[in-house]
Amino acid sequence: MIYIVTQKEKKIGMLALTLIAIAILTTTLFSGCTEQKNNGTTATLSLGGSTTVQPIADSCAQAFMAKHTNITVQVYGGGSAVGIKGVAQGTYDIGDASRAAKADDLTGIQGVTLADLVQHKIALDGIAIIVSKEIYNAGVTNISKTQLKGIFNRTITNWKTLGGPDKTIFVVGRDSSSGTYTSINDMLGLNKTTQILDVAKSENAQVKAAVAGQDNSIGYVGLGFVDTNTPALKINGIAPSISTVTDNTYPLSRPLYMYTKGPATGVEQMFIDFVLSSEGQAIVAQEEFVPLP
Amino acid sequence: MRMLLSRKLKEAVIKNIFFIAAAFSVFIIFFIFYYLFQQAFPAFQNQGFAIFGTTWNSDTGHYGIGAAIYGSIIVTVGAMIIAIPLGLAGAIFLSELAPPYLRTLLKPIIELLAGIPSIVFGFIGIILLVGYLHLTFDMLSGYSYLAGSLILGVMAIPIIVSMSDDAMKAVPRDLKEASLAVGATQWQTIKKVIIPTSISGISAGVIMGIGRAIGETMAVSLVLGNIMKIPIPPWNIFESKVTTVTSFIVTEMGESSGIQTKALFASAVILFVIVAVMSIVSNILKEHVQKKFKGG
Repeated sequence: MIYIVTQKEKKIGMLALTLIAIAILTTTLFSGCTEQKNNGTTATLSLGGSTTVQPIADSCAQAFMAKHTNITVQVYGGGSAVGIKGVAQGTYDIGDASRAAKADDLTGIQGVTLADLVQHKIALDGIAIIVSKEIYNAGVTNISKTQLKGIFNRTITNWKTLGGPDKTIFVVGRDSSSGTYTSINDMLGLNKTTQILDVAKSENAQVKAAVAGQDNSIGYVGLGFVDTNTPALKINGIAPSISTVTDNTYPLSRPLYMYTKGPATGVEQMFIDFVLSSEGQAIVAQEEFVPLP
Repeated sequence: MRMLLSRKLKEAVIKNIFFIAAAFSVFIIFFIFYYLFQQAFPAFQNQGFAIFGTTWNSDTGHYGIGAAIYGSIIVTVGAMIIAIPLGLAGAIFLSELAPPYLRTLLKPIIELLAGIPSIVFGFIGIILLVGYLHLTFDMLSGYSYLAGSLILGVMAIPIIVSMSDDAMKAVPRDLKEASLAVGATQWQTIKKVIIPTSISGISAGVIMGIGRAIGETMAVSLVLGNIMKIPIPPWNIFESKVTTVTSFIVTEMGESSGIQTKALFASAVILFVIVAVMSIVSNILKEHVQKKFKGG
């Protein structure tokens, strides 16, 4: 009996030792982390603005930092207006925007005019509106931007309104932190409260599967995800394609920009050159946007 | 003498290797614990009790995950309504009624079911179940609490069957034979002797099943709408605009940033606490059942 008790005590002792060891290990590990961050950095670059551009900026920043270990790139969100204001005020080195800068953006900022901002087009954004095959075959092949807005803010809820079958519209979209979600909001004049989805998916392929799986769905995906199972609607009579996105005739398309205050210099120039390089444009495609022609 | 020393040394080395291996997993769990809390802390600080609210809108800075917690509870309750009766009945059959050849055949098959990757369940769910529900119940879509509960219920059954079967098998033979000897029928024996004596083991199995259901991610995220809302009425199991904590995290994490990411970590912390408590309770119950029969 006594022997068993001592064994138990031994075990408790071991456990206590382990816990202490773990505590020491954890603290050293984490203090190591912070030290590394503070040392060895020779340059920093900050980007901020459009949340549509953010996935491109984030991934490019990671790839860029992997190549240039002495440069730290920080990417912030906030929206196009924040990006343009930020670069004008010097908060960010590069301002991301999913639209062209306007004079309005600079109200209240002393000594900076629109002419001081230099625009760099970095990618194209084109979104296809896909529907279930049954809907497309029933004759809904074209839709106006206003009707589309009506579907996403739920003023239009039945396919009958659009000349389709008498079925409730099932609306599939993306999670609220996705760039495509934000793009749809911007393009149709919606926001996070007025874009009302039935199902939010985290990937284009899942949106496609959800739309294809039912006979009453509508959804939005990147251009590359259109096929005969999920046909794309024409918007105001124009079918989505690389060429209609590139020449900007397709209504749900737009160029994406990075802005610098004055011509890009030093690290700014290096980063923008990287985004425009074939490697950067491959990241653009990987993030489901359309690379520059 | 030298021989003895080297043997002792060998023993010590091996012992320490095993000790390090065991300590490693303890270290990992503490690391996860620390990292989760460290990442989530800013969100708790920023949101306060609003983190349990039901508004999730990064434009207005609201990161309430209440609707997802509610969803996790509802989906799990639904799964248990399916899994407990089926699992318990299955366990009773396996341990008490099945002829030995059937038992040796069925038990491994049921345990194999527990090993099927969750993505497979999710895939079957999205391809077959969602479409089936959509057509059968004339729902707007098959994406719903109902679909989530059905899938999680099926996933939890093997855990409940297997653990309850083990608990019932552990009931000493003499108890069972005594009951039959005084003239009780087989059903009376099961009801009055087997189940009451093995109840803590059965409960452990059920709690493990709940733990699996509440922590499951991939399968549910595929068959829910992933929208942070509580349906109207709240028990509307056919509504697609719903989510669970796990499902919401996996849907939103990809492109989130800043305090939004921290809020997702905060929901992971809440989930971690729930699952940890369940696992501890389940272990206590399991130990209880072992003590009861092995004479402590």
